[in-house]
Amino acid sequence: MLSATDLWKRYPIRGGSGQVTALAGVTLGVSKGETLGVVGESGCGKTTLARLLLRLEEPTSGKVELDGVDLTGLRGHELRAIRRRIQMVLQDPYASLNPRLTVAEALIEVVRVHRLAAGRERQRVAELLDQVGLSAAYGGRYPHEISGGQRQRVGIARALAVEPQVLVLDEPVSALDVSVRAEIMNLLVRLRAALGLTYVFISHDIAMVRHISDRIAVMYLGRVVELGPWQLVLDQPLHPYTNALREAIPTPDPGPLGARPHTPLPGEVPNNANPPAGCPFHPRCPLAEDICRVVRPELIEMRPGQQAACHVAARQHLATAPA
Amino acid sequence: MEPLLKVSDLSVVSSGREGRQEIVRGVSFEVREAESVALVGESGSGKSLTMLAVMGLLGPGLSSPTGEVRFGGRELRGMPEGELRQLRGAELSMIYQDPMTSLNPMMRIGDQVAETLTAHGTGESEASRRARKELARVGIPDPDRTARSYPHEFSGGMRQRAMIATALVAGPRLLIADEPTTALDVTIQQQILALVRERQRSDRMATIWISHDLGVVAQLVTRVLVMYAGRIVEDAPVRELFAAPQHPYTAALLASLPHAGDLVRAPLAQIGGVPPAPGSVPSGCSFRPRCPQAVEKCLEDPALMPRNSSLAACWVPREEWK
Repeated sequence: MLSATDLWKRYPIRGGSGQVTALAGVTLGVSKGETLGVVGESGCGKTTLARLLLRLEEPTSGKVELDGVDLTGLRGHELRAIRRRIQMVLQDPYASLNPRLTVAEALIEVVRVHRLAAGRERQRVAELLDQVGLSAAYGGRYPHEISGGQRQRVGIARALAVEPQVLVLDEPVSALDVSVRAEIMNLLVRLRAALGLTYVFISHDIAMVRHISDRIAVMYLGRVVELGPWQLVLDQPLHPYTNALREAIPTPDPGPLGARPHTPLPGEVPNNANPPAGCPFHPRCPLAEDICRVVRPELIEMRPGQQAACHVAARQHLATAPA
Repeated sequence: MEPLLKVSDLSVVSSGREGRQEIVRGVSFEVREAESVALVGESGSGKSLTMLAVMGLLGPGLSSPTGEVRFGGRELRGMPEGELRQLRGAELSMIYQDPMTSLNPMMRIGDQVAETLTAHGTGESEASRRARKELARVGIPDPDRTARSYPHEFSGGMRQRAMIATALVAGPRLLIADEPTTALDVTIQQQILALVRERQRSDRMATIWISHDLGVVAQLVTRVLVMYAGRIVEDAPVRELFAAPQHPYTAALLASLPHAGDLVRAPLAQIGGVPPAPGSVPSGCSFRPRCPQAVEKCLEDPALMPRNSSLAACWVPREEWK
């Protein structure tokens, strides 16, 4: 339904020469009704990817398609029509809600701007509040009068107001208290089923991504390093970086007495103005070999539906496969 | 033997536009020498304010009208500010979520680490030598060179290491770590947790981890204190807490987390409702309106009471839960 093909995004370095490569050839897609989880650490390009999928920015090269229509290069009313079909939910809806508008006023504004539900705006707002599990009384409240979880519900209602098909959710529960996260996650799962929505769920919280995604893309330094079904990617990862992320999931379990904690991955995420040669992960990789320092591994399918960009994994998994 | 830290009936009140509000409502706990304890709660539960009150560092508009804080056999409440300042940094240290709150952006990293020592009477050259040694111990490469850097030249993870160096250089007996890894990427988070855990063991330093995340602290501590609406509602050994929580709030928090090994992804357990705001805390047990176990008795305020090998502020024993 929504797909990116060989997407590149470079930014000039402010006040200097050279470029930062935020996205380096990303290809992925999400089918109707499916949820694609995108995980990675800061600087991996996940937010840039979100901005390109929503066409808030133009890619340097590559394509973003919705139902086969290339979004890059769209202008005017064509672009506005597409924007209605893809909406975004942000980490902190407070930052994007007008503090002087009540919840109902904010929602009516969106409905009016897009000329939806003409003449029955009030009714539509009541419907939206009901969909996100807020009683009608919340319509009269201002953003500062409601809790973080309720604000996120309003953020979701606002995205739904234009009847989109795809929601790009950028860290939607990261700013919420633990006891509220479960409610918002359950709401998202319910809405996906009820409205047939398609999600791109971006987060650094691997446990939440694992909970909601059908497929998961793992990004590192502007590239997808692993992509596949959720059970395979997180429970039987092919890429050593995915494995390190998986081991870093904080588990609510103290483990057996005297158990040794996992050895943390050494080093820091390299600067994407000057990425390492070969595999971008090689300086931190426990499995790195000579070839990894020179040749950049391609993303290839190693198990059915599961792709990874790793020389070592390729040798292990493809050597045993029939030629 | 007397515990390293003994906090009794500590309260914190704010006096702002909303009037006088009690945010921390009579908190008592102990931390032994070299022990690692977590203080867990959601935002507004009072966990950070509890520890700031212990340190004597409450900000404007906040005060602590009641409570005793005994540290290393001395009462900190009422101690002259000069004496308290000598204690902080040397014996009692704190690290924060955002290293920039405790690092001076205008001062070289090495000087900042050394300052903890010179402030307590160590000579300049000795302080500088120990600062570089400390930078190496927290994993900052090439300390002779990096000691001359400014904080903005460091990555987030390196700044966190530098802040830890300033907190540990004087060899404190108690470190209070207030969500020190929340702003960091997961792989860097693991490095910082491993670093503090290692230092805690090698230096026999007691540590109090303040966190909103039970998952992060599970493998770091031997005991967990759970806070809700300004009270400690459960005080339990870490294994007992995860295996058989004795307070319904702890049980509900644990149930709401997705589990890494689940093959069937059922809806997450929800608690329902929100924690009360200070000033509108219900009478009796403050968790009562959200609690699935609430009974008539819960209209009375429960104190911490022994439950198996834990303490829980709940009238209903786990064996009688629905």
